[in-house]
Amino acid sequence: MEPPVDIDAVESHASRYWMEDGLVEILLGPLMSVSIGVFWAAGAIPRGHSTDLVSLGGVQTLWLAVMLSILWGFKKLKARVTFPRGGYVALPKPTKMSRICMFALYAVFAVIFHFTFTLGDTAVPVATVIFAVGLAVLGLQIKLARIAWEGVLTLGIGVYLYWFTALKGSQGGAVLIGMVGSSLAIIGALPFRRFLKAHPLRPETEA
Amino acid sequence: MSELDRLIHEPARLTIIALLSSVKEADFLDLLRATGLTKGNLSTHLVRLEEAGYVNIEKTFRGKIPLTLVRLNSVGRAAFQSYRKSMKEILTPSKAPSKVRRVPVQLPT
Repeated sequence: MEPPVDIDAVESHASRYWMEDGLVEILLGPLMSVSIGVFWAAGAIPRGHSTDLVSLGGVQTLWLAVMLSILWGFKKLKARVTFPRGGYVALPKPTKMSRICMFALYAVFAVIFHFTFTLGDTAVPVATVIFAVGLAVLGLQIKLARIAWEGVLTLGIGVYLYWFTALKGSQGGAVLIGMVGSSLAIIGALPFRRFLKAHPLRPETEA
Repeated sequence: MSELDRLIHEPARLTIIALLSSVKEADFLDLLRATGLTKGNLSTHLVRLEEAGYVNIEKTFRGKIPLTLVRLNSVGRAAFQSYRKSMKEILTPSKAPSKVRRVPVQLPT
């Protein structure tokens, strides 16, 4: 006896729906651009044991604030643009454990990012691997081929910057993040346009 | 072997329940899009599931637009888990040793 429907595929619908209109990628563009600005500003602070700690804390706090405000804007945009067209889906509230895991993951990423920019020549390869693997895994997990291909594109950008340009260290890392952010925003605009065309706004009905 | 819940085993209702099990709540429009059912069909299946006590349906408005929110409740979640467990048992081959004795056969040359 076979199950009448592929339950696992159906269950991934919600997370796929949150990504399929391309809004996430479009918002990643400004998020990455802001990140570059923040890290360049951090790089301008004079080096020293105490200033390093201040810049690490200050930069991460500023970055977290920017990320949270972009997340807030993303939710607002979803509510105004996507849900009236394609339907409303509320993802389950994260448990306490998953919140702690998310915060730990953010902290690990933040520290990796900070040291990537202070390490020098390894900045481009490390940032490339983080972004490429992250995108590829996400794409495979939610079964959205576009996202996995964005991971491959990121790998291509990283390889190009590392081997074919003279950009190294924080400069190379910043250009990589900028290029990945811009390409994600451009790629995200295509499914977003397709989504708007495929799901016209429903006419209002009187209550 | 445990019995399969016939109400859930129907493909359209199983799709609806599987969709609802992965979210907090979804509206009628999303279910319509995700299941590919017609409005009437989806409505009928939702009523069946509500009568069985598996889902909660809340009719409200977003501005002037009617909004039907559907939520899988704890009874529905338990029934779906039980269904998945039963299905897994059916699909997993039994680990009990076979009682059939294998006898080597001499093939004719």
